[in-house]
Amino acid sequence: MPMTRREAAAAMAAFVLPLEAQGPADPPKLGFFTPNGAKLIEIIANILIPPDEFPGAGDAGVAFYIDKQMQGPLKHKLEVWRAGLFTFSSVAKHHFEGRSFLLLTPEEQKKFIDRIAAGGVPALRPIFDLIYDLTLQGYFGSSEHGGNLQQASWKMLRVEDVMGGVNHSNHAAPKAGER
Amino acid sequence: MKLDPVDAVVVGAGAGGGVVAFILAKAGFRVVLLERGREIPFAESGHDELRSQRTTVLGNAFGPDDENHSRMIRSPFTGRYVKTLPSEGGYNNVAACVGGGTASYGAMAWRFHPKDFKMLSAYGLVAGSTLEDWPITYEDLEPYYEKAEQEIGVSGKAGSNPFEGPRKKGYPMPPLPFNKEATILAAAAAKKGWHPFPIPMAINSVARDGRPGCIACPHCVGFGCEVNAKNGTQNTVIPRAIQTGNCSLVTEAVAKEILTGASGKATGVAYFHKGELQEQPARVVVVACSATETPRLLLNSKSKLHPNGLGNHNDWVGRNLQGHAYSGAYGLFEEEVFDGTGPAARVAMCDFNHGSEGVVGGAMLANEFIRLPYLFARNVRPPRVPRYGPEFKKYVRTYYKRTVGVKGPAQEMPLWENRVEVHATAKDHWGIPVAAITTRRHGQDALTGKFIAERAAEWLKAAGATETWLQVAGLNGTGGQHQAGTCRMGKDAKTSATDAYGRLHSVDNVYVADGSLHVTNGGFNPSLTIMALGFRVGEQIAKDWRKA
Repeated sequence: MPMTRREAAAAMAAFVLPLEAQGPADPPKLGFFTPNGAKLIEIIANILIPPDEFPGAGDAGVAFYIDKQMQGPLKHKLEVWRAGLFTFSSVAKHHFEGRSFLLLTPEEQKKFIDRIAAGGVPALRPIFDLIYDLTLQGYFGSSEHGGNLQQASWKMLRVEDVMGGVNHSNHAAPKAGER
Repeated sequence: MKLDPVDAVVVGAGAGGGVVAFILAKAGFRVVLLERGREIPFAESGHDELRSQRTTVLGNAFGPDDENHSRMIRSPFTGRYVKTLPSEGGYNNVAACVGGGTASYGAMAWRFHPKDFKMLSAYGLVAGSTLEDWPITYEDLEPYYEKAEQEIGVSGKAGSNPFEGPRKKGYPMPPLPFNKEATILAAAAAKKGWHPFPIPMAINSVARDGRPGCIACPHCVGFGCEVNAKNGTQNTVIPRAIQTGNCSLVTEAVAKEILTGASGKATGVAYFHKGELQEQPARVVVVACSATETPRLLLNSKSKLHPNGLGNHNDWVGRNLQGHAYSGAYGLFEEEVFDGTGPAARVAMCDFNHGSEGVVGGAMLANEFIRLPYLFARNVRPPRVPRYGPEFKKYVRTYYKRTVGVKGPAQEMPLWENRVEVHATAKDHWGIPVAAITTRRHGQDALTGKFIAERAAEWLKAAGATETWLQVAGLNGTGGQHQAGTCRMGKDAKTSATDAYGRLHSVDNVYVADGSLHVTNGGFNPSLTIMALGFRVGEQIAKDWRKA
């Protein structure tokens, strides 16, 4: 059943606030994601990289990463992102006979993601691929960008001593010629 | 505004343009060096994987920026154009800053193999390809390779590569030491009867020229150097050019067109600087903007006498765009092979550059630069491992430090259809028509790629890898950072854009000095060859246009 424009806008607003409603970005506070939007990303990110002895991607702040970057360097993806999340929620709702993805059991959520990843829901493949890539970026990139809280992934890989970001370097200043 | 005339204006302060500016300034020419980007200090680019030259997902620290520099990428299969930003795949980005690609490159400093200059003679015609010999030989370029190694500063071990062409002089610095994976790989290659050696690098192994030696940090390729031990044109020849007092560098200068006079000769360059259009008159114009932007500038320089763009009397400008069909393999090891030391790419061999059955050309093989966490998680995974979930996470965690990559820049067959044009309607921030790019690979490239990938896997297995998998280049071409070929040098003015010194056949005071000149692109990273050509083109200009 096709939605009216008003219904679509309302459904979309459930995940992403309009730009003018955003406060200044101050991670780990959310800027333009609503709590539900962030929750959706956290759930999916934790399916992609689940918690074990080390935090899952959702727990490590991938939603903060996406939230921050969509207001910065990834602005040009914002429309694709909004439309993708909207499609995701409506297709999921349709698939589960009116139940929201957020309210499904973890098993149902995982099964649905598996199905998308296997190509079983072609309409959701593009947004899945985007969420997937952003999840890896947020989990493995420098925590300066909002994700990888407390360098969770770098600690897991045991590289926190050698990896750097924009504003810091982990290397002592060398003397000329020293190696 | 019309500026005071100078002897030469060089467009592009990268590998080629930086060198030409230096040679001309030293010869007493008054030179203006235009660069569309600016200087990028280390404090600004840092060690951020997500904005490095290899992973531009959050933009490219070394430019160009997404806002002002889009291109149109055309599918060779459907003919459809897609607007593409610099941070997106398929853009064919090199960088836009002082030093160009050399400010953030991996700094492998290869001389091409003598046979790389004679691909047609060595292999004969390849159906569908414009394969050709260069108009110059390795011997012609050898003195200029030497100048590039000495002026830019290359560390390496002369004589350690038995397949290298003859050299008159050794490297100015000893090689960087092997890291753990290079040590393991070198021993395995020697056991196989192959010929491993330390990769020549434009990185200080010892303090030189007032800058320190490499501190072996893991952030090398794609980054600026924290201690300024990596040598590009931005910290060698460009400052030396400026020191002569004869060269002014103008950054954030976006070239619009090369201006021509009634005789058809170039009279200077029009460029935008801080929102204003400037005209820089000059006796000689040197175009060194990369194999994408050089043909774009020439094609955008249309006039009555040059209706198809400057130097494009025969439709060869922008043709034969090529890069490398990078292929290789990864291997998993039982022990940790990652020791965290950069630049990590330390050992190579040239046993498979030429003369292999069923292959046209080939590639050097080398171990990879450090795989940083995001790119590792995204791209380095055997086919049996799922791309997400608990098993994926366990794999990344277990094998991040137990994986070695070996790959090689497999030669691509040049194709006439692979080209840079200017788009009919799409314009950049300044209203200049953007580059439109069409590339695909020749079927031969897949064979070469597969052969190279299989040798890489063989090497990894010999080194003790318990599991290997191949990564073979597909049919979707990209000039990428190694883009070349779009203003081919040649003896015949009918089938090339410039003569053997980079001078446009149809305009005698315009020269090209970048990878555009490459007839074929060798089985190596191309920067030292671009620099060597810069020395050769620069010296020729100094001779041709000496002041009376």
